[in-house]
Amino acid sequence: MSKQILISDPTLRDGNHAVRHQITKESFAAYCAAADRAGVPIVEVGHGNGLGASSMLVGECLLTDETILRTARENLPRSKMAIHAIPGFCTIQRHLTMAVELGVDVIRVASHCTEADITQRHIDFARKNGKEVYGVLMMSHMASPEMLADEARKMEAYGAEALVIMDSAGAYLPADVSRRIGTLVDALGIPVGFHAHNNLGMGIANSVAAVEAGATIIDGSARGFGAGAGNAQLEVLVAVFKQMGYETGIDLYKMLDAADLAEKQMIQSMPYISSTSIVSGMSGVFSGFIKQVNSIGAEHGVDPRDIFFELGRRNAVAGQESLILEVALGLKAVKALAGAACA
Amino acid sequence: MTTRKTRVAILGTGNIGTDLLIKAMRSATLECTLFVGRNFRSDGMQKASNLGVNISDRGLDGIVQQADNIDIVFDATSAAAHFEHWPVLQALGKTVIDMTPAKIGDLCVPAINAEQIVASRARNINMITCGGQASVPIANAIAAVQDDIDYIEVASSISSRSAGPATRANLDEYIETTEQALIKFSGAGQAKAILILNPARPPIDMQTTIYAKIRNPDLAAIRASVDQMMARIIAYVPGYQLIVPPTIEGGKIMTTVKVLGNGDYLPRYAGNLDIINCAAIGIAEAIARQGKE
Amino acid sequence: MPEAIERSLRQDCHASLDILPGLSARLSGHRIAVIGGTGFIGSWLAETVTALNDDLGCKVRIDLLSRHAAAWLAAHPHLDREDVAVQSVDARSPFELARDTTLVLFAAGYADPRMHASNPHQVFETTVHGLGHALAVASRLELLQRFVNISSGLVLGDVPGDQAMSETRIGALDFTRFHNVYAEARRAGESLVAAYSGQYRIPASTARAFTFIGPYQALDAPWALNNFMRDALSGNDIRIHGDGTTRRGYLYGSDAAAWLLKLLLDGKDGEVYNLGGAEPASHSDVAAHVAALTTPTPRLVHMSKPGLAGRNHDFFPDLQHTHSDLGVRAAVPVLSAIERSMQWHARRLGVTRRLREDVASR
Repeated sequence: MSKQILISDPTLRDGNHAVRHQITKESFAAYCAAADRAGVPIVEVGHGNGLGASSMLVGECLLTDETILRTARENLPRSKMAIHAIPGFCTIQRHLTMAVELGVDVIRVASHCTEADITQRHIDFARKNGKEVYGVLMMSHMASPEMLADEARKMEAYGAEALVIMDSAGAYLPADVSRRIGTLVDALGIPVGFHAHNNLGMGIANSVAAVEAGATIIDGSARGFGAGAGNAQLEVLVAVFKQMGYETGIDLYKMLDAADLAEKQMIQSMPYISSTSIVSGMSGVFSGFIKQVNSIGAEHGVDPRDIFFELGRRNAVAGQESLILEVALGLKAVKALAGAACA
Repeated sequence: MTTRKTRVAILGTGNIGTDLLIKAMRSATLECTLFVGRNFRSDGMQKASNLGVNISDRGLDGIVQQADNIDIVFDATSAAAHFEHWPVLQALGKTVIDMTPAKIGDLCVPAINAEQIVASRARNINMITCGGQASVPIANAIAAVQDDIDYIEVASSISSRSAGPATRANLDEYIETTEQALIKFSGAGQAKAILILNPARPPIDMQTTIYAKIRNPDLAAIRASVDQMMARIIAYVPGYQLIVPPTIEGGKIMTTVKVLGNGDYLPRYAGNLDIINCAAIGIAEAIARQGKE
Repeated sequence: MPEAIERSLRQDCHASLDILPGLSARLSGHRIAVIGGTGFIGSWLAETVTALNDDLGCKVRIDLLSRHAAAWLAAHPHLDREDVAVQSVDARSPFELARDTTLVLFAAGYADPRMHASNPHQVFETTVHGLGHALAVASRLELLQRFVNISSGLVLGDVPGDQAMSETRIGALDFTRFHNVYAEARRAGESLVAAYSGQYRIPASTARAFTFIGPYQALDAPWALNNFMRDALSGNDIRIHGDGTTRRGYLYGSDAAAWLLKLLLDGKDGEVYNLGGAEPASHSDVAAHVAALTTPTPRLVHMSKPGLAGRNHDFFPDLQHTHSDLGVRAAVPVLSAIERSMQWHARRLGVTRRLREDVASR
């Protein structure tokens, strides 16, 4: 029985979150070439929030989407090029059409885990244009396994060819992953995948649990380069899966080389689990908020950890960055009142 | 001179149409003479019937049959349907307020161009989008005192529960229509619209943040201009609030508004749906008032 | 209604509420709408609300919507109070709910098999279209926290009846026969709730009712226990059809109401919860209890032969999921429930002389 795992590598997409979407053209070129040499099957590129997301809301990208796709395509002779696309940020006419023209292979259409029905037209467009299309459910800890399955089935009905759930906040423990992946594998006729974040140090363990529960697609980033505490560390995954007897098709040495290159070339600070990462993982808030929470917290003299728990309480979702300032100002006002009351 | 109210027909008996009906019935200058859709069993139809409003399930034909008793038509169906409706309504000489993203006619934000729309006797008036009604007047207010706006961005978040199937199936049209209106009414070089559905409970109120990239921002002038525009908007959208006044944040201007719906037929958290309806009624009343002079 | 009975019902409500400490505080400030609110469930919820408000310092309001509003009020004047509002509504047409309604319970429908036989169309309309209208109006409520649909254990269709029925063992149902209209309509109802949840994001849960027992149930509704009580109170022999081994689980009215209140607050989206009694009792046993409460003691007469091939018609729920998710338990045992029902019906019919003397005076 062949035990194969399809690795999808979002180093150049999720990693863009870690550097406020400032990955350079040279880095795109260099890492793509290295990943291609290593036989990484799918390389995902773009702004952290996907195609068309460069904005003041979630951060402006150094490069245009067009430049990123051209550069990547030139340096991925064999590997598939993938993009992340969130309807509401990304339109078919302005963004997806261009991506198709520039040779994207895999379109991962993503929504918040309870809003799959916004992806219908984008998935349909991708299928009509002969591209592989995955459905992606973000912040998947915010729905029960059964509800996730219902939303996943919508995407399957729309034509998604695989379904990936993301632990965007890094909130899961392995048992959570097993249950969810197991429920999805039972409910769907298409392959199921998992995208880990490492806020609670569970990136590798959760990915292993996902595979053991039947997932066949796993996301991992070089050195874990990704939003917040980072993703499951790709080269570690490759090693672990090899030890477990799974085939990834990736050359271990060349993968290690690619990770070394990523570290030298573009990773300004190595992903690690900071205090705020732990807090965002515990509070179930999107990791990508971290830099803005920290900077707004510093600017207004509010503890970023308090901001996180409050955002978690308010069920903040990705794209609600404008809420961070409102929450910070609110907490500041409460602090001032408390201070005044004591005075 | 006539004291007759301006007679409106509402085409589309879903939640939007029904909410429009309740607003029209409250109006001093408008009277709904026909509430028309395709299904007598729809909740809106039955509500209208209970309210004593003249109803029809003949769709566009219903309007054609009763054309003599109608001055203005609100089209609250869909863009695709509106493309079919317009030639017929145009031939009948009716003024149409288009609630869909079809964009056949003149884009209207009452706080900005009600007077021009009325004076031009435009026959097809498009109400852009909910996010557009919330953000475009603010963008316009900023542009009034700054002539070097490189880029305007509008990010709206609405509660998941207020986003029905029509919204979800038409996110791209929403984005494109809003961006078009932003550029038209602010002169910005580029525009970007973002829509986020938030599933939080209790459902959140509609909130829109406007960002502008301006080379030499004059914050005081911007604030004054926005305050003036706020007053014009509140005249027909009572639930419109400025929750973060124009601020310079990271080298860009940002400001946030919230719309609390009136709760006529839709829940109050659906401020997104309420604002476009308020705007539609607003321009209809402006037309009605002009007709009296 | 005589004060003694009123007091007993109030006591029963408290017995059920005592198992759920903290419920009163959590319900305060809520406004509950019950569509089909003058039946068994609505009446018991109204009783429970009065107990909560009068004795536990709660401030909860309940609106009962029904076609029989006026008649119900006339029959139960002690429930004509400010915190229990009754509205005349036919759910087959759209209706409005108070804007500050926070919890909605759909309890409309016809469980009576005679109605299924004679007017299956109305059964379907009320169950499915009525539910549709309820969902539509609930989806426009700003303060809605939960919508609960009361469905029926009968939706499970043809499953081997010899064990407790869990929520997930779904069997076949011959929907081509109109006699199955009630179960089929409840199935359609559950599907409609799922569609509304999936499309409009209404927070909704389902309660599947099994067999209820207690005051506020019409004695002539042809369920076995009712038949036994009616026979006994008419001074006749108690006739048991079949061999009497068929089992039912019985849930008393005050428990059903308390469980539903807990479900309204704490039910999870998309979940189905069995609502019934877990300890099954056979028809023979139940008939014997009824007989023991009656004077003179009626005979138990077994009519007709036992069913072909020993076909099993047991009908009682597996309550594991309900217990673990909602933390509810039955407070009123079946024997007490039967006794209370006998007292209630005897008083209504003016035949308290047929109750055993100590039972009549309790």
